[in-house]
Amino acid sequence: MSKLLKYEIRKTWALKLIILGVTAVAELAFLITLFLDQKNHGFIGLSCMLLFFIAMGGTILIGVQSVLTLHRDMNTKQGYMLYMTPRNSFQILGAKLLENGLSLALAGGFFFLLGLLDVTLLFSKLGTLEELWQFFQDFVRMINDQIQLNARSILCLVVEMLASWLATVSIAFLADIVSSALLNGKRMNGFLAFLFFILLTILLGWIQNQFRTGMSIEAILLVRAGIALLYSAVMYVVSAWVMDRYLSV
Amino acid sequence: MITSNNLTKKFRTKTAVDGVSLTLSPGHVYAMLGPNGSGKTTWMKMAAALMKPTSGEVLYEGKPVGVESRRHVAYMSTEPYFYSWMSVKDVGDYYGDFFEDFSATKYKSLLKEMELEGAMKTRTLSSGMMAKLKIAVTMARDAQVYMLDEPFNGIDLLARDEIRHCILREASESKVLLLSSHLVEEMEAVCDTAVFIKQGKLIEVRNLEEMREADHVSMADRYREIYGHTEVSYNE
Repeated sequence: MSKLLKYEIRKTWALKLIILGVTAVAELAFLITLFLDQKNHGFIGLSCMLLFFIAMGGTILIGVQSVLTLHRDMNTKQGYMLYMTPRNSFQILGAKLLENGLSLALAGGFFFLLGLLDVTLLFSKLGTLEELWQFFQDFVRMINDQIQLNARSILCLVVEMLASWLATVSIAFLADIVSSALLNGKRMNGFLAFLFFILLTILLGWIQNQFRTGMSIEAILLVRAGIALLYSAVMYVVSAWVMDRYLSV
Repeated sequence: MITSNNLTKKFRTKTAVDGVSLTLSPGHVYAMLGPNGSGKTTWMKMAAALMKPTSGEVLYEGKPVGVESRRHVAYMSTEPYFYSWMSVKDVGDYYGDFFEDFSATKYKSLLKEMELEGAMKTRTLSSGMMAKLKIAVTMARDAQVYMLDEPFNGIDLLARDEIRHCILREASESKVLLLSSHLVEEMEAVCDTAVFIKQGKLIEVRNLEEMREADHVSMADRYREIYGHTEVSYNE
C-alpha cells in the first residue's frame, strides 16, 4: 500500500503547497504587524482572524480535494492508472483514506502549533491586553460553549474536529462510490447520493450526541473523536466492498 | 489462456456485449474487428477487469479476472489515461512500482526508438507521441496477455510502422496479443487470427491463413462481407 500512498500524496501536494504559501504570507503579515505596529490592535486582530480562517479553510479544502480526486479516479480515464494495477479496492481506498487522515493530522498539528506559537508571541508582546484575551475566549466559545481556553482543551477540540471531518470525508467517499458504482446512469443520481451523504452525516451526529453528559468536556470531545474514527472505519469497509463488487471504470 | 463465457454487458438502453463466448490462446496475434460501438472496447475492459459484466464471466488461466490477472494482463486503452502531472519518466516509474514484469531498461530503449524524452510532460504530448508512449510503457512489460485498443489510432504512417514493429517483436508462443483497430489492412500485416464482432455479438473467429486458403478472401474482404454491403467476388 506504500506505493499507492506515495501516488496519492503526489496527486494532492499542489494544493498543500498553496495552503502552506498562503499561510506563510498571512503569518508574515501577523508578525510584521505584531513587531512593527504594536499599537494597531485592529490589524493584529485582523491578521489573527485571517490565520484562523486559513487554518479552517485549508483543513476543509484538504478533505474536499480528497473527495474530488476519488471522483476523478472513478469517472475519468485516469482511473485506469489506478484500477489496472494489481491492487484491490481495500488497498486503493485505504491509501486514499490514509493519505487524507495523515494530511488532516499533519495540517491540524501544524496549525495548532502555529496558533500556540502566535498566541504565546501575542501575549508576550501585549500581555496586559484584557480585550484581546476576552476576544479569544469568546471566539473559542463560539465553537464550543463549554470549552476552557487552555492548551489541553483546545487540543481535544482540534482532535475532535479533525476526526469528525475525516468521518465526513469518508461518508462523502461512500456516497460518491455509491453514485459511481450503483447509481451510475440512473435518474437523480447526484441528488440521491447527496441525500445518502446527508443521512449518514446526521446519523454520525446523532451517535456522537448520545455522549454529552457525565464527563468532562475533554472526555466528551475525545469520545466524539473516537466515534468519528470508528465511523470512518465502517464507512471505509462498506465503501471498499461496494467498489470491489460493483465499480466499473 | 483468456476465456469469456456468455459475457454480457448492458448499459441503460444498450447491450454493448451480448453473450460473447471466446477463447484466446497463446501463440496468436488476434485482431478484434468491428465498427464503432460493436463492443470491442467493452469486451477488452471486462477482460482487463476494469469493468464488471452484467452477466457471464471472463477467466484468466481458469480463474475469474481480477487483481491477480492484472499482474499478467497488460491493457492499453485507446484514450490517454496518464495523470496530467506525469512526465514520460514518471509514467515508467509508475509502471515499475506496480508491475513486477515491467523492465525499466526495455522502457528506456523503447523510448529512444520512439524518439521520446523522459523529461517530456505527458500533457504536452501530441496524439502521435501519446500513442507511442502508451505502446512503449505497455510493451515494456513482460505480460502474458497484451490487449491493445486501437494502437494505430490517429497517428501517421511512420509512427504506425514503429508501433507495428514493436508489437510484432513481442509475439511469442507463450503470449496472447489482442489488437483492435479500424485500420483493417494495417491489422492484416500483424495478426494471424481475426475476431469479428457486430452489435455486441461474436460473429466468428477465423485464422487468416486458413481463411485465405479456404475462402480465398482477405481479412478486409471478410470485414466488408460482414459489416458492409459489398459482395466479394471469389477467385474460384
